[in-house]
Amino acid sequence: MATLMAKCSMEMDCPREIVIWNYYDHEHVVGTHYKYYSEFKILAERDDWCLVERFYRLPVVNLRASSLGFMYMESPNLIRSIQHGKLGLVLDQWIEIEDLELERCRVTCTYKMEVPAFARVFQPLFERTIRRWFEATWEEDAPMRLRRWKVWKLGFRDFRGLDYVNRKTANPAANGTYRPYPIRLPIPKTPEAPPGSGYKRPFEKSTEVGY
Amino acid sequence: MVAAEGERAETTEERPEQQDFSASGFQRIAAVDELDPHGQFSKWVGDHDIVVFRQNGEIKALSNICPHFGGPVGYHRMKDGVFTCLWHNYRFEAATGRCLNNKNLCLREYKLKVVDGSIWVRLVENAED
Repeated sequence: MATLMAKCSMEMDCPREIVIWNYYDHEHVVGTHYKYYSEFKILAERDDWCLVERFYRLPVVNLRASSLGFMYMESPNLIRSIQHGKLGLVLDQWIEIEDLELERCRVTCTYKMEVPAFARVFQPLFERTIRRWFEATWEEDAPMRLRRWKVWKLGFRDFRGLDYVNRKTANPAANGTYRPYPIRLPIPKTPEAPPGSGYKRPFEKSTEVGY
Repeated sequence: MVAAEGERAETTEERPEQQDFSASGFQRIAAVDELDPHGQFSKWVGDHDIVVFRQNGEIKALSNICPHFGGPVGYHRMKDGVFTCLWHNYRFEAATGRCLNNKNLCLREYKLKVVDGSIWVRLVENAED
């Protein structure tokens, strides 16, 4: 056997809790990442573990694929995601999220895949594909995390929004400053989607106006 | 002349810079030209993220912050009178701000004036509680 491996690391201007929220917000994959993900199903989820089936298109090799993934928190700074693909291959992903400053963190993802010895020649392709995937999804996740952090500091509450916007009053002066982000798992799901029913992207192409 | 809220001004007797809209809570958000080419744009004005769009010849402004998790409602171009939030595909009726996925959610509509090629929105309408 041989191990294919890739490692990617980036920094973000938000606390690590926002990144954890983003990883556990499974429903965003067919929204934010609609160009890559076509469908997913949450088969089971409790506290910090979940079993999720995802359908997506891989960059570089341009292949449609799906995987069954189990994700849990190994420690407060480490998420593990183990994804079992249709070909019997298992992708073991270690997502390390460390606080650098009050509003800055570093995300380091290590990907490993055990393959038959002859397949070690695929290491460059594996690394290239993983890196492209990491960069593409990061590019879409980064504005999401920054915006989530921004609205959170302004006093955002899930399923309510911003009180001063809704009430049409002035924004209280304290809003906009640092506000601790308590991570509570699992992330609340859209109540209108029955558990296990799955989520499909509503469209594959769109005219994007942008953030 | 100041256009009625939500209506486009045909003529103006005063330049917008001559009028003190800020005293009545209005702030300039953009030039009407910025609605091109998509018929919509979104922009932060102070602590308000607002999507401005043209629908049936009328210019309107809604909150661009999805009350679900805070996503950008106007990221995708409006289609068939409906905005679809980028993050989780929550859908909102542009005419009313009503959420089509969850009847408990709604986007705030901002009062708006269009004067001499500029769009003004009123951020604060009510006194503090």
